[in-house]
Amino acid sequence: MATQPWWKIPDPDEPDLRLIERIGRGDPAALEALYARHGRALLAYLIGQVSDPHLAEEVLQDVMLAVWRGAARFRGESAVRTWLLAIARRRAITARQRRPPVERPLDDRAATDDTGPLELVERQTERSAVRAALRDLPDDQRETLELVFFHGLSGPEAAEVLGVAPGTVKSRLHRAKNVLERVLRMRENTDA
Amino acid sequence: MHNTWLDQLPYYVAGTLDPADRAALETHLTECEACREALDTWMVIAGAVRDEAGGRVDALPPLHHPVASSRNGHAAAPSHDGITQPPKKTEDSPMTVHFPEIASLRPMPHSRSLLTLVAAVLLVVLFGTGAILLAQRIGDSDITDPGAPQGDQPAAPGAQAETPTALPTLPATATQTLVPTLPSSPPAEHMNAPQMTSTALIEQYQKTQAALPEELQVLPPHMTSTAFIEQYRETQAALPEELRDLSLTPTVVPPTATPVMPNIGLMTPGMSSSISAVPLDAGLPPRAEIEGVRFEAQTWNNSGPAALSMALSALGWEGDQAEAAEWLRADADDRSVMLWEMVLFVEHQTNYGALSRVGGVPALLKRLVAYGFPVVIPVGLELDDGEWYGHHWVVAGYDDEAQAFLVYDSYLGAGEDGPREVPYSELEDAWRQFNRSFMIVYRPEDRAEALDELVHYADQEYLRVLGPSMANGYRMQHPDDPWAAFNVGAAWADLGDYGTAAAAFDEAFGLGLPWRTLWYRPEPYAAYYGAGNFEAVMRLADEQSQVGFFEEAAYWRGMVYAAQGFPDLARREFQSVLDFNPNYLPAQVALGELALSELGVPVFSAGNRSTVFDAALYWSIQSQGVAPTPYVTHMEQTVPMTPDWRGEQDVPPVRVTRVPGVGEGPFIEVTRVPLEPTVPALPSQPLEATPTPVPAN
Repeated sequence: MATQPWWKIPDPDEPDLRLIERIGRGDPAALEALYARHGRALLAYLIGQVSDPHLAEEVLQDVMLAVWRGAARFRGESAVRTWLLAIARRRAITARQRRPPVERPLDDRAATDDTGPLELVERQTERSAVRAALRDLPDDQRETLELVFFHGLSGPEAAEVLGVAPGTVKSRLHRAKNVLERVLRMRENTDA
Repeated sequence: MHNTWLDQLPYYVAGTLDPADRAALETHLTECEACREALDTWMVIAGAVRDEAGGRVDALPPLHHPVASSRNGHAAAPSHDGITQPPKKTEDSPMTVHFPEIASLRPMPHSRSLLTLVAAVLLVVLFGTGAILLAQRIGDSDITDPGAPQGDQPAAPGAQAETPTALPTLPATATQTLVPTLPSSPPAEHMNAPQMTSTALIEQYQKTQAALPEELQVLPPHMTSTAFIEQYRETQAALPEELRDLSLTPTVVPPTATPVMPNIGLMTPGMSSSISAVPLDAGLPPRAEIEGVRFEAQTWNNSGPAALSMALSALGWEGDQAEAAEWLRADADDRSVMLWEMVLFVEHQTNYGALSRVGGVPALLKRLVAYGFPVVIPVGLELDDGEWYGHHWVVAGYDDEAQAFLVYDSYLGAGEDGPREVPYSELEDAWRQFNRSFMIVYRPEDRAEALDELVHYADQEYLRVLGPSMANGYRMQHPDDPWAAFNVGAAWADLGDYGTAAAAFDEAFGLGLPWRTLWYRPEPYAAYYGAGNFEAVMRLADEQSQVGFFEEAAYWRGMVYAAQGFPDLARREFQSVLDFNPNYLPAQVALGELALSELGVPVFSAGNRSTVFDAALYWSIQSQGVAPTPYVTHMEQTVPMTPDWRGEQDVPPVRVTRVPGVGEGPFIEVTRVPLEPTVPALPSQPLEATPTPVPAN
């Protein structure tokens, strides 16, 4: 197959489920399209899970291989994104078991170069304080926060990915909020 | 109560709350200080989480392709290695049956689709209230199946490679071991096949299921065979007698219960001439043209709707190709529209009438346009890119002097004063690639006249019975023309002799056809399916799917899955068809039938189900609940046939089976009857002579 014929160019609006179907039938272009759509989010998730970006990239390839092989069996009971994250999670656990965790690199990149209304700037700095605090959260709480806010999962979906009861998601969110709220209060007090 | 509001806040911030909950929460927020504070905190947290997670990735590394893509991608990818492996034993006790739960009443999920409702309505129409439970199951199956993401098994990474993953194209060996129900007998025998008892069916189903890898078994597994049989009996008892599982009664359908149709097929009263007795264009003026056709240049892939719109415009229709396309090909990627779909559209979405037939002749086209009926014909053309495409023309006139038809072509454009001139010979050549099928449109009050002017083409079953003879005549004169062989296959498939049809298609493919053939002419699917050659169906469907989505490919894949006992996979295929084209009635019907097949009724066995694509038949099934063939009470009549295309002299007669239908019918299925030694062979007729046993007029 030399060049990509026009009909193989992925349609940006093609629903995830259709892509999965095509992957199930062995269409590599569909896998490529799914990867382009979800790869970034999955990689972000995996880096959070295995800490080492290079290992995360390897695991991501694993995940896509699993998708390639498993797509035909995907029954559509859960959202495609949930399914992908569930695969990623299990792959990350396997990878972590094989390799000891690496110290997480500190990263303060996206901090406060934005200018704008004063309140926004304040929010931004609050935000970066919370970002720092996030890294000290227990892994399960941070992971839950990410599934809800970054990956946009509903409570039941997050529970499905994590393999826990929906109530557990609720309590993890609650506990994480308590910790982070404390950080915010401390900032308010020192600012005053 | 307040805690519920607090629990909802993170999802409100994440934007994943239901609209209803969101509105309620917003109202609450206006009056609750504590919640507003919590909301602020969550917003900061959410922003930080997004920054943190989003900041981790600079660039997405390239994807290592899991497979060097083979032609159809199946070589190393979604493999079926596992299917031939020894079955995994998962049952706790040998009494466990993997059979779909029937009577589970679950709350109606709000995402229930229109389609499900259609299927539900269909089932209720078919079976009365007893079917509601079934319909319930159809709707729930893809939402509440337990054990959701099962796609990945983390345990042993190495084991992944052995995990069976793919469904398509079961290898021959697997097909034999897995699907004991796979009929290998020629379709001619299906009517006499011994009926299985329901217990035997269940046992067979159980065996099939047990032989499957766990992932492919139908859930839930927790039903004993006794419980199932009980439930099955109950459901059956709720059905009207004539719709009950045939296998519960010792004989097939009692022939006494059937209405008698007089004089099937050969000559209906009022028919004014035989095929060859009177030329169809006798007495016509040397030139005729239908006025008032509004030319439309087609949009992409829209030749069908554009042609239809132009034809209807001559009758005063005010719609345009976009309106037709909206119903006919909801998805812009739908590349082809079949005549039967257009007939459905005209009959049910406009105030006009339409009908389609095959095997037309130029004289008939002239006759129809001379009497004022615009004709739409599908044609095969090689366009300026050197590629072969299916296309549609509106025949609106002819001119004997110019030896040309007057044609509106939505792609090539209009002629100087309206239609283009297409020489008779050129039209015939392009038209034969579509078995010279055609469609006419008419005003409702002109229906009787339209049928009159169609002469013997008015009688659909007559054409069907004669189809092979007519196609054979051409075939014998043009032995190297793949379309000639193709049309013979189509004619036999239309008659229900799928084995002979499949042989003709084999030959046609062997002679070489354009690669887009199946886009416009999906008849081989029905033939191979009916002949029980599921592998051929899967191969064709998978190859076609490489190019994009086609209703026919997905539909026939679904049919094979259904026949092989993979209802979930079948359902997914049918659903995908309807997601693509909600008006694709065959998929709607199939979805309804799937529930029956899950009860063990052998709806989908090859040869057991009508595979004729007929607009009126589908419409009648869908709207009036006329059941498809397995429930048909039928009459039989033996019709002698002319020699077939292989030149056999002793051609067995065919058995014509009446299929109840509403609308354009009557509908028949025809199977060849094996010649019995005690019965003297019917005299065969020379091909050059009148190719039918029609009595002289």
